[in-house]
Amino acid sequence: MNDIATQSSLSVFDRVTHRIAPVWPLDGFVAVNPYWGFADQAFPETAAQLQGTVGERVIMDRRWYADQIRTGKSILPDILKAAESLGLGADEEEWRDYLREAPEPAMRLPTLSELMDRRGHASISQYVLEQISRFLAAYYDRGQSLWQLPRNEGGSLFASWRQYTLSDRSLLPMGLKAIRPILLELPADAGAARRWAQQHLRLPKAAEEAYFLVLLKSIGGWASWCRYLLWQAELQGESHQDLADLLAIRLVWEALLRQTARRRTLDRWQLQLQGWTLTDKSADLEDARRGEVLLRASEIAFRRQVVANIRQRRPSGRKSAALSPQVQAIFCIDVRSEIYRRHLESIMPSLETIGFGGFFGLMMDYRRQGDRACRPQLPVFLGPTVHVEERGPEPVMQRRVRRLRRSAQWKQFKLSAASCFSFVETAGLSYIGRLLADTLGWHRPALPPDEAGFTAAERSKLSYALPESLSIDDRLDMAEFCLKGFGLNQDGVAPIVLLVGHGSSTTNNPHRTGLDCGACAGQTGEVNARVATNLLNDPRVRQGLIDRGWDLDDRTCFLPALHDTTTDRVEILAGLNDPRLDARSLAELNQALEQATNLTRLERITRLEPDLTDPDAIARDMIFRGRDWSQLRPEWALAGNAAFIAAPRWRTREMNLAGRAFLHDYDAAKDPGFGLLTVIMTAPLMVANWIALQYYGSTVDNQRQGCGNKVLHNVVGGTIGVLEGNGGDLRIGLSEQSLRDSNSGLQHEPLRLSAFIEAPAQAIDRIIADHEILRRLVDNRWLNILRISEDGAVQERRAADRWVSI
Amino acid sequence: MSVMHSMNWLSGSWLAVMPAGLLLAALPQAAATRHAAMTTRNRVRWASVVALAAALAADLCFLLGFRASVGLGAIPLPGFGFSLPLSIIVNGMTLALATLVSFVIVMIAQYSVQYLDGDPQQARFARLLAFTAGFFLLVVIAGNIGLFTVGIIATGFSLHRLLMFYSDRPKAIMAALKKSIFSRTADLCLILATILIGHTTGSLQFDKITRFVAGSGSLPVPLQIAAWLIVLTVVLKSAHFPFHGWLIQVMEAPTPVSALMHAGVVYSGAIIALRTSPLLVRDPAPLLALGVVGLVTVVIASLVMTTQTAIKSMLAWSTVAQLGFMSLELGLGLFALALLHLVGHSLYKAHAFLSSGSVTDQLRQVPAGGCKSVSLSSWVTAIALGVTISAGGAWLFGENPGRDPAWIALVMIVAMAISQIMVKGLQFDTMGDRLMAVVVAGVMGTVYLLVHSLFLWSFAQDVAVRIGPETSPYLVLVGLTAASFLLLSWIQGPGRSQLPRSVQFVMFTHLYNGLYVDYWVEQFSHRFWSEKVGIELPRKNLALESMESIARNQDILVNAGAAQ
Repeated sequence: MNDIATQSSLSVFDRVTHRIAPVWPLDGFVAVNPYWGFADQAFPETAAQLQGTVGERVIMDRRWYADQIRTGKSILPDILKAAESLGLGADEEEWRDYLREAPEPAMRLPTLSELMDRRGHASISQYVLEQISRFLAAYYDRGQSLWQLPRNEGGSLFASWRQYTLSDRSLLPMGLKAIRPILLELPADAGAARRWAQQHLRLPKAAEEAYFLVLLKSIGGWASWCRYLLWQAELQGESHQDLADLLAIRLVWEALLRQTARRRTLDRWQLQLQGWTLTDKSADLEDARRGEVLLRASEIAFRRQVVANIRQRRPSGRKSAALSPQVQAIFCIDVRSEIYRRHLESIMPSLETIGFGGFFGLMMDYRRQGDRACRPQLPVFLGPTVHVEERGPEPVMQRRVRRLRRSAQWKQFKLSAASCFSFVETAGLSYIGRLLADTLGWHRPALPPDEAGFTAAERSKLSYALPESLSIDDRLDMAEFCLKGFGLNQDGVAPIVLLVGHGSSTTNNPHRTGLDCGACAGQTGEVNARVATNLLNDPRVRQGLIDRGWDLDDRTCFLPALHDTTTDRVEILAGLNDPRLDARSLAELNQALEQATNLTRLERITRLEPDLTDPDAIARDMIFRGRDWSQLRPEWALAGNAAFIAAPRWRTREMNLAGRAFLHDYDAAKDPGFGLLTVIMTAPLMVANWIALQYYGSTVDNQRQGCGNKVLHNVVGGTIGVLEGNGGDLRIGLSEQSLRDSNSGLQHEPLRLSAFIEAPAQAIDRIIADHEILRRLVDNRWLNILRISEDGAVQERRAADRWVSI
Repeated sequence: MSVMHSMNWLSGSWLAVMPAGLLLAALPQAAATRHAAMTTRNRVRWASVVALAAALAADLCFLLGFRASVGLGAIPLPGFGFSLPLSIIVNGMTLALATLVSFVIVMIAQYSVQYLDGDPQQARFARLLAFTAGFFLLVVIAGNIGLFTVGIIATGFSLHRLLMFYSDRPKAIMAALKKSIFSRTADLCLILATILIGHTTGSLQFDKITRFVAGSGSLPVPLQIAAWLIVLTVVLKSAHFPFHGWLIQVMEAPTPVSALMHAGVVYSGAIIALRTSPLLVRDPAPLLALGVVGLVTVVIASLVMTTQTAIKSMLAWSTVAQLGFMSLELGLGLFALALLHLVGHSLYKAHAFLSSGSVTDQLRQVPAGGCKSVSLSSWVTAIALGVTISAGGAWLFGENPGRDPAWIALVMIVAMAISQIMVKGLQFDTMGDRLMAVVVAGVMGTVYLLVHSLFLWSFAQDVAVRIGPETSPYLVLVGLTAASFLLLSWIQGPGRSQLPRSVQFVMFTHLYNGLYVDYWVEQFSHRFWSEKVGIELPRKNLALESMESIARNQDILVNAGAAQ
């Protein structure tokens, strides 16, 4: 009996911990779908559940939608259409009334610690949060503190917390000193402590899971961090206990508080728990369903623009140019590429752009000389299979080591407890220069991490090597995978093929990596572009490819390039002195890149600084943005993203998608077994879905899913994340400044991603059916799938084998 | 020559322009709209540039020989027996401070233009910034303790508003309220000291006080009390342990506010101590007490600092330690050195706060290598080398610890500091890196002594010089200082790992939580202001906020259109 009880409650814990989505650290801050743990539930159910337990908003306030209608950005017929398709009543008056009413806040499930908060006393619930948060910051610290928490080797998170709390004397001023002896009696084993807490809390069975979720979400940022550790462990096929331990910590806190709370508070708590259990949740669900209708209506409105402009027939006029392009440029699918690609194509008709994930199909991780660990450079839910090392001439590498060591000594002088005083007396005056230079943008407080310790000339001498042990066959397989992915397997390859990775240039921005390439795990795409071009230019590989039947001209050159998404410059990184290159087409290409840069800036500036019109001023502003240490909006990153289009480029060529679409090239004719489609739908589409929902979550509830106000950010643990202000929970997601412009307008309209795929319906259905994770996302309406048919018409997938024309 | 004489007020008038300009720029009301934000922030930025230009002009005039202090009349205070002069003190220290403060304000104002761009309340922020900066400049140039007190109270109030800029954040309110407990107490001390001084000497002017003190044989009791009150003011205003809680929580306000506090306003205590240093040196007890409090703060806060895991908390604790160090210097009678510390730290801390978002990029660089823990032998080597370099340097500069025992402490402090460079350097495996560390340490020691001598020489006239003979409490303080710095270095180096792990753990926990002082202060503040501090956290709603703000902006446009 007892055994069964433990069994079933274990699965409750498991279920709750798996509701949490991970958060990546600041040194590789990639987008995450914050509702990842709820993918197995339908969208409105999740919205109702989160609203009714944690109090988290999952759908925009209806007053916002009402405002959209008032200003003409959204229209009532779309709402009626959406209501009909979701099986709700489509009475116009009813909807008008609904939009007029102020929303009623749902009844939240209150925790005991919240009920213990009293006026005239420091808040207990805040204290509990701070206590755990402070402890975790010390426990996980990644380079901030000089004196680190002495960790017990092999000890669990829970055991450490218990030891910490036993020596933590802040319980006394908080009036909680009675807790200490109880904690002392508790076992250091998390499982046993959890059972003890569960027995003492005596929660009603019906509320237990919800209550656990509320507790874990009350420290949700750190829970996400622990989920990240679990995620990394799971990628290696291992497990990680910290998330379960964190839940145990929070549960034990609650149980400890129960032992000390006053009778009256306990009664009130019991009453509220009962009340919550008995309330009818269907009203919440009803409200969430209606909210989904409003959301869907704005999705319909957005889609209409896309559908109306999709090209129906392959253009025949420039057949010759299209068939034998002079340059092929492969860009990341990132929405920021869309603008640049459009302008580049318009300037140079003999150039063809191709969209592919910015990791260029390389499953690699990368290590700089001196790094303790490798850093992944591929989508975060994949594991690396090859390892790339940074190489360089010995003297250059030594110079870097020497420079970095000197700055480490300087840092020690600056920060250590015994020397910081003399430091300011000795070197303080030199900060006049630093302040001036940083303000004027002549100098940056920290160099881009990969450039530190090198001069530009030294850095150009670096090489990026695949391991020697990698056999020629493996190399050929990798090269073939890349080329197939780029779709270069039939139409022939141009003399110049540009692989354009992307990264941002921003200064003094803790979330810098959030602006870099998500497909490269939050790094710039530079290394991937360089490694891929090295591989594809390798004569042995080229010979092997020809032997395997590839029609590759000897003169074809693959060139790595980097698109700076802040300044919109595209720079060719290497290979310019290759004798095979035709000087004239290279000059033409360079000129086209520069012109495209200018056009892209003109387009982007309207969202960044609408008052600027002079092209020179725009260029100066764009370049300074990346160097300005007080700039909180260097670029809009992926704000506005809403669509994913996997189709041949000609479908969308010359179509203005306003930087709102991920463009992946896909031609079903070249993919007979739909192997590539499977890859696209399970990797890049997933990345896009994560990004879209990250923006979605951060916009609808910035308090829970976003990281708040950037002017208050306080980096914690060196590279773990940020706190807002003085303390509190670890903050996840995007900041207000990344979503809202200077005029307070939202730059991101929260929509679920609409994925347009040009492939046979059966193929799409089969892939969805075969992949459980994808199936959940699609069937539970976290992701919309649409199909472009051969004549350019679009159908929406409502269920397996149910496609409806729109 | 006669022109020179008749224009003697020139420097002082330039100084008067500084606060006046900023306060004028702050006066106009501003709505919470985009348009108001743009005009106000620009106005404040240019006012701060004007202040800096005025400071530089004053510097130039001073160098050309226009050096008279300026009085713009006096406000009579009936019944007190003295009046409140509107006077400006013109000397090297005033000019150094005015230039420093206005420079830092320009940097902060410029930074805030972009940093708070898009905040609907940016206009209010800019106004409050200008008010705080203007009043603080008044504090800097005030030629008498009365005007100083008025300035510091006004600075305190506008800063309070700035700390509550996000008034929907309970923790912001809490930090501001905690600050006001200590600030108001300090203000009260200062007012009492002002009255005592005015009553005894008949004037509030700093130069009159100096002359009075020099002329009197033994210090009258009211002035002794005033000295204690001033020292208490310094302790409270400089956030010394255990009154530091408010300073480490100002991260609840935007980063430029933290920079302004840590790089400016927090020095008001030190400035009054420097201004009244001729009075303070006459009574050794209050100064020694200040030195002891400073030393305790140095030891605790610098250790707490090393345990902090959030960048701004680390910087805030570092400020607490640095202010403690400055008070230690004041306590040891090294006034010119305290001024050097003030200037250097202000610049450093302003930069450190404004660039605090860069810590992640720094940590993403390739690690420099070297082992983490410090071996006892390399620590001893580094210390020995450090002592040799700093003692040798002091000897070369002609300093004699026998004549001036403060040099025992100074040599030790500098030795510990430069040995840190070598402690790190000796961890590296190549001889070149190690030698380089010794060279850098030597250079830094020399630079220190040079800057030190420069400041002593430049500001000798503006601050008092401690007068002997050495009392034994003074020597004890010197000895304690030397020992404390050795201890700090040891704990940070090899010492910690010698302790049993459980002791390390407990020490870490206590230090990490700042010895829990703040929890008690916070509980007290909650009782005190139970009505003001809410416990509900605000629920932000981006969509609604954005709608409201856009509506406000459009409203203004519509109104403006209608008016035309």
